[in-house]
Amino acid sequence: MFNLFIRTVIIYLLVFAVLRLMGKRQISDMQPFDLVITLLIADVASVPLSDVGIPLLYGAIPILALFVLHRLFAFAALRSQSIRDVICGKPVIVIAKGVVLEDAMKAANYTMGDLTEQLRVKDVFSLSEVEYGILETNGSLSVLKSGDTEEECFPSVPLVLDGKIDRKALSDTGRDENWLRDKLSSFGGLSPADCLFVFLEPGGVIHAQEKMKKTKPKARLLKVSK
Amino acid sequence: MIRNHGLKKTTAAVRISLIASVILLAAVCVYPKLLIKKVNEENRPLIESAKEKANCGDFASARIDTERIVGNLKDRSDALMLFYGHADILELINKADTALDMTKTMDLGLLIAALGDLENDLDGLTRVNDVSLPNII
Repeated sequence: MFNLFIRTVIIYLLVFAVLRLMGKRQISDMQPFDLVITLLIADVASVPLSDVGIPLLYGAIPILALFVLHRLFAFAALRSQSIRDVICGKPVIVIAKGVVLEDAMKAANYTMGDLTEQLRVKDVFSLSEVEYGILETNGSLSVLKSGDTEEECFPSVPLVLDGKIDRKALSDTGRDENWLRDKLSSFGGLSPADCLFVFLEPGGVIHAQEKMKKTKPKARLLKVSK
Repeated sequence: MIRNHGLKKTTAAVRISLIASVILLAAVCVYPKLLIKKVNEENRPLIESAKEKANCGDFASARIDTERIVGNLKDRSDALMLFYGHADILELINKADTALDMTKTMDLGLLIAALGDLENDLDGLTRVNDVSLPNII
């Protein structure tokens, strides 16, 4: 019996360390990928706990292998937008300018029942109140309510993320790369590759932040109106 | 101003644990193979020798070989139990003990059968860690 206790302590410490090193997140905020890895670790950990005839390594090795794989995929996702899209998926706009996009709903396997339920969770009881609805990669729905004024209302559009230009988003907003480079160059010759992010805010305001560099440790936050 | 305290420590901890995990996984891929190879190298010649001596009717010499097999397996049992099912290792030692008993009763047929069983079990343990399609699936 004491062996079982010692085994439990070892596996507990291992699982605790691995989950902490994988990053602290709430279950509700997890990507499906993260959730599956966490459930797998929990399942694998239980195998050698209750049976002293199974070597402890039969539980520890799969846990460590999952940890290493998870870190590798996380690293790859951090480096490459396309890998991030494959692993995490992309947010889907399901309501644009007050119109429910049926094709996007179908592609995301999202029913009207799901949509109205998620809207109610966000304290929105009428579709007419919604200007934009975005289905996030973790399954939650982000809602931008219609403004009271006639001014154009749209969510912030990421034009540059991690120094890479999203050309589709740029063309969707009716702008081109030259326009973006012109805007950024007004900040001391900044290029898109130097930016951690560039968002186009409602009203045509650009919200950008320069990447942190070793020689220049303080990131600059830039804002420019249209 | 709000600051992230201990960010560098966390990053370092993740890197160190990642490197340690990779090293451990690599070691676990290699060490069991070396261990079972060593067990085979120690015991297979003794098994063959015990068989030959028993066939010649020299049960006293066969007993010495079999006692060495039992001793070898008991010495390696802790390390083997790290990587193989505990029941499999205990069964292996039991079979060696059975063979030892047969040298005492001088029962040639049962001794040869027990030593054959021992060889089969060693074959099984060797194959468990082979990288092959049947083992993977």
